[in-house]
Amino acid sequence: MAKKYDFLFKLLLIGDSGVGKTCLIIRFAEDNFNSTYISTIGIDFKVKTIEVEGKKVKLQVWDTAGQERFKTITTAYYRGAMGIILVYDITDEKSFENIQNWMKSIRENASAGVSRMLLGNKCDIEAKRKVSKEMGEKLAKDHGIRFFETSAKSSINVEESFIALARDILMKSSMKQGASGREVKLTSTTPEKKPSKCLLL
Amino acid sequence: MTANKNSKATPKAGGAKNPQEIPDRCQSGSPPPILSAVKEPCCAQFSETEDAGRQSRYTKADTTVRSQRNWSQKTARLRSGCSLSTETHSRLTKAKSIGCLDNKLSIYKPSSGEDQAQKENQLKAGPPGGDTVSSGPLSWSTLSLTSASAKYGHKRTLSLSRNGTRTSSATIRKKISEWECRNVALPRMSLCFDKRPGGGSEGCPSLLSSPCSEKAFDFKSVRRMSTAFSECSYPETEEEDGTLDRECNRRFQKREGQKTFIRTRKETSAVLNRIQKIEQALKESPSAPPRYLSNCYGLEKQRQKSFTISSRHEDLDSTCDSKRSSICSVATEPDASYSGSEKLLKFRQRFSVASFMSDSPDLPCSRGSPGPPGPPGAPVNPLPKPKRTFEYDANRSHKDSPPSNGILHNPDTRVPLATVKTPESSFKRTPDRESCESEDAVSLPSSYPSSPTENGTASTENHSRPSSKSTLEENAYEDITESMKENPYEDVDLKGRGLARKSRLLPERSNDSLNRTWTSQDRKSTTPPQLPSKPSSQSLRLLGQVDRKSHRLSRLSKRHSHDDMLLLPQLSSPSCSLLDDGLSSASDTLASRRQRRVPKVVQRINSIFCTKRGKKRLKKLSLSNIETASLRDDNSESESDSDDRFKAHTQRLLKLQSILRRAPSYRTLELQLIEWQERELFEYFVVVSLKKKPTKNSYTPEVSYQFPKLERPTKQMREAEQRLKAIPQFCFPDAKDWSPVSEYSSETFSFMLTGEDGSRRFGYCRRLLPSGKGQRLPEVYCVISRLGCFDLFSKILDEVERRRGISAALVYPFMRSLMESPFPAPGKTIKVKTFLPGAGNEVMELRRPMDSRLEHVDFESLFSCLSVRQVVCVFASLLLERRVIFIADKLSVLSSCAHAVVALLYPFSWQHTFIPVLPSSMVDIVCCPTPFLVGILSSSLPKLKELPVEEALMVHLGTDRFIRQLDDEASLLPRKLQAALEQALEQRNHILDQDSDSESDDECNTLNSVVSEAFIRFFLETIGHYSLFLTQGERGERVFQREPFRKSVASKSIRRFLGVFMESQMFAGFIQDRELRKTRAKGLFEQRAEQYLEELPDTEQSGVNKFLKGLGNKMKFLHKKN
Repeated sequence: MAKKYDFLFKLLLIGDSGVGKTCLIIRFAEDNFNSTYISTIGIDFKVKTIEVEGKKVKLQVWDTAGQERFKTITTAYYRGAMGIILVYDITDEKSFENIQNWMKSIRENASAGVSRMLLGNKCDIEAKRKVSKEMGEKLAKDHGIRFFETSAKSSINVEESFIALARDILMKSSMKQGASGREVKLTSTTPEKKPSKCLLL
Repeated sequence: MTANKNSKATPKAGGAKNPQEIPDRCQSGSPPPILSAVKEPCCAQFSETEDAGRQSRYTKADTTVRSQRNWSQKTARLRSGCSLSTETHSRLTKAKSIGCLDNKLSIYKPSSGEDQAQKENQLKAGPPGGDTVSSGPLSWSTLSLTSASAKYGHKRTLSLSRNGTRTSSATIRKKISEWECRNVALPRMSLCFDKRPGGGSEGCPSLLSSPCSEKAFDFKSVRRMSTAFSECSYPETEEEDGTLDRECNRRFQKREGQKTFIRTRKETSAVLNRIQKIEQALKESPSAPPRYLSNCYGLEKQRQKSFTISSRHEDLDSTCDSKRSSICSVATEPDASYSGSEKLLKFRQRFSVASFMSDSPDLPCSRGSPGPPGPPGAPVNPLPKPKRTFEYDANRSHKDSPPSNGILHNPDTRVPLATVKTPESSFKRTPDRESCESEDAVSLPSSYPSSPTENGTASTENHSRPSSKSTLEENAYEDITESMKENPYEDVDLKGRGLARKSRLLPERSNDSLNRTWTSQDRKSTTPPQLPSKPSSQSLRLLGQVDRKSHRLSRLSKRHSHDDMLLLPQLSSPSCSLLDDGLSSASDTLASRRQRRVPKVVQRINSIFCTKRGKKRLKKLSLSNIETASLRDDNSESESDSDDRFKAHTQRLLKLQSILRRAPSYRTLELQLIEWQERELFEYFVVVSLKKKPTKNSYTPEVSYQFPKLERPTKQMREAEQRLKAIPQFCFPDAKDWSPVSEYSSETFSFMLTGEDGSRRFGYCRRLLPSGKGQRLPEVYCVISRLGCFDLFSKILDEVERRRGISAALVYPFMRSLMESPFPAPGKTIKVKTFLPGAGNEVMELRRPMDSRLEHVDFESLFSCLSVRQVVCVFASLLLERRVIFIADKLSVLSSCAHAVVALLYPFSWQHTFIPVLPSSMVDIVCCPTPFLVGILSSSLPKLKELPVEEALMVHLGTDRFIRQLDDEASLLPRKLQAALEQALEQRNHILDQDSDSESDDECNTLNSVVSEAFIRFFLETIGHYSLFLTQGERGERVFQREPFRKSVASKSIRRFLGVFMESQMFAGFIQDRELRKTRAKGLFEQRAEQYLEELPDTEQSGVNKFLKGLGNKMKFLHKKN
């Protein structure tokens, strides 16, 4: 892999299966060849290089299977990631409840300096909405993180949200000066609580 | 209840009569009946204290009955029981069944049990039951016994009802039912209650009037009886049939059982409940059945004395369980012998104590429940007992194929007994799980439900026990299901079962220990109904709060047993009651027995750890400490944040649990594996071959044959399709390196697929060169299964290879026939008929090891690739959930080492990405930020080195070096424990050679088990005390007290290690599994943990030790209860 980028950010998708994580990253990566390993080896990732503030940032977005099995998500799971994208399905209350649980455990162990973001996916299916936008906003605000409602199907807010998260991470990392061009390591700085920023559709 | 009483009473009684046997019997709970019987006749105390209701009921005929019983008991001891039995028979003559009963039966059982049984039979299916009984004189004896027993039980119940049951029984039943939580029992119970509430007499009529309910009761009662009496019955059936003594005993038992039956329907219902409990307990603890057997055997050994004792015990049990029943029996036995009464009085006194403990109101219920079991035994006398034994056997065997057998053997008897209902249901259940030894695996499943008889033929053993089958069947099935549902790892217990079976075969063996333990459990199980005597709330609390329990224990040594009973209605550990009672001898024997149960291999490993680990172990767990720890924070250590963290944690857990409660089912990897054991042997069979790419001079793997075909394109199918698409890459992860060869030695390997939901599938592959000449490309024969069972599939692949050597066309029919085979349960064998042209019909036996935990593991290959130190480093890295990459030249090495290293984590399971063999095309997956264990071929090494891999441990298997490491791998584990672990592993062969003890199972004496036990010991030293901190929340949910758990460890290094380890996903999953489980986990690890907790006290104050022991036992019980 030639290093055609200034930063490599590894992002982690967290959420129940069925909330559309795979579709999200396929949409994000604009990958027409939408095959995925997730159903064979339980893990998959997509790559896309974007430009943020003049820097080329390669985003690796990872997805693993079987998370709904976890009652809590421990640091061991996400400590290698620089950003966590929590995804729920606005038509599925249970997926939202799980996010709430995980959010707490992640926040309690947030010393790793992981940037987080909350996504309510499938916002194109307004008719079946079970989780109001306000609930998502409130949850994100409580934890001081970004929140978007997205639709992988309709390509709503997908790229915007990823870029926003990448920007957050970049800001953090630039503060910490980690730009060897390869892999930015965020050492444990106290996680900054960013004001929740809700983007409307 | 009875068990408790029994335990208490038994010790006393045992002391009076036969101390040795008594304990066992006490466990069985038989003694209590005796006591009760004695008490009843001799002393109104008992009746009053124990069961007011009973007394009232019994009082009428109690006096006579008591006298009779006493007399009968004496006579039984004297072996004059025949006459007594005959007398009872005469009384019972009412019961047609008696007459029907075989001559033999009439001689032995018929007298006492028959009457009752007859009554019951008459009420329910009296005519059929009687017929069945009479029909099978010899072999029938078993059958007749079972039938008779059932009948007896029914009759007894009827008689009891006639006597006038008390309303209390209904309440008792309710309580019991609550405790038991068994629905099955409840319906029947409800029937009983309805009838009885009006009055004991009313209840009787109702019973008579409603054949259905009676039948149900009969079933339950039979089961209970079988379970309760199984001990007695087993010995009797096997040996006693010939011996008069036994007969006498049987008679006594029958009488007792009759008495119990007499208690009334309520009792029967209670009995049913108890039986169910017992069954549950048995199911939960596979070893339990064996213990029963052993008890029986033990009894047999001491035959006369033991028999007398046993009879007494039985009497006691019956009395305890059903003092009423005893009364009835007394009534039946007009000739009351005071000589026996004296002994009985002693017993009674003891029992009375126990009964008092249990509270009179509760007693009736509990007694009633135990009584039923007893009654069955009594009626069984000779025959019934055998039935029961059979039942037990059947239960055991059922797992294999017992149910069918039982059905087959005594189809007639069963039907009349009304047990038929249950058998069918059980059959339905069993087919899947039953790994049974069906000749045609395919045919079996269908055959079971439809034609039990056929199945029955399969197992000869079962044949003898046919009568019991019906009752047993349900139990057996339940056992099977439960055991199956439990963690696959828990299969280990099956070994105990196997031992039990062996013990059966060798009646007089030294299985006593096992039997005793089992019996004790059984007793407890029976006893639970009595629990009501003590406040149920307390029992519940006890479960939740260890501290309270300890306090109680300290206060009430005697009560302890009750408390235990209450707490652990289903599972009563003999040790607890014994300890509480201060029966040092009994406890000692139990302890020694337990020690015996521990394989020498394990003992040696333990000794290594003991010398290496240092003195620090668990901090003294005084009650106050525990309380403070569990309730709030750890006082001993002042950590400012502990409180808040603890609160936050508990809150989190509570919330999570509430959420999880909404979702009825929870999923853990362990559970998933278990669930899938019930299904088919494999999902797909695929042949993958290499095709040349049209443009390039390279090859791509493609599926050339697939079975079964995919059908509808549902979402699951879509996922399956994705999988199937990927399978060729896993079969040929090195496709690009291939070119035609003329020689190739076949290779076996496996891979693992992980689905979108995290479910795992094993791919078992045999790569071989098709027969032919010249240069050709290999093919891979691949079986995709949810089950990890390497040896079994290796055998299948051997056959595939053999057939492929002749013709590819021969492979497919074979796989098709396999496809329809059920997956064998651990330790079970399935037989698959195969036809091979030229070789004719063949039968292929596929067997799974008892310990399914390691059936896909080969530690030998792991240690051949890595040094002990390296293995420990890899182990430590996995424990802390780091990223680990295995690199090897061969697929077989990769896959076997990956599986082996994950198996080291038992009782934990690797929760993260697990790819034993990663196709080279997917190699960039190793950049994953999350934990993983991945194996890649060394041909991908150059590419691997280019990738931006996160911190990871890269292990080159075979080169004995780490390609990349974090350098702290060797210092992750607690130093002393690591030293002990390494020493145990270095000496693994030595440990193995030393172990020449024949007691241990063969499966215990393998390198695999030695290695596994060493790592288990490591976990015991670190988290072996976890169950002490799994406390019950307000709503009955279990909550793990994290910080108190960690701080209770005395060693600082272990605490530090725990601080990191407890943050791992696998620890969270482990605790989650324990918190959500409905029943206590009972796998090998839990066994070892129990032993570990028992040995803890040594370094501490004796009081603390005792407390811990009691605590551990209680915890077990509680868990089981839940």
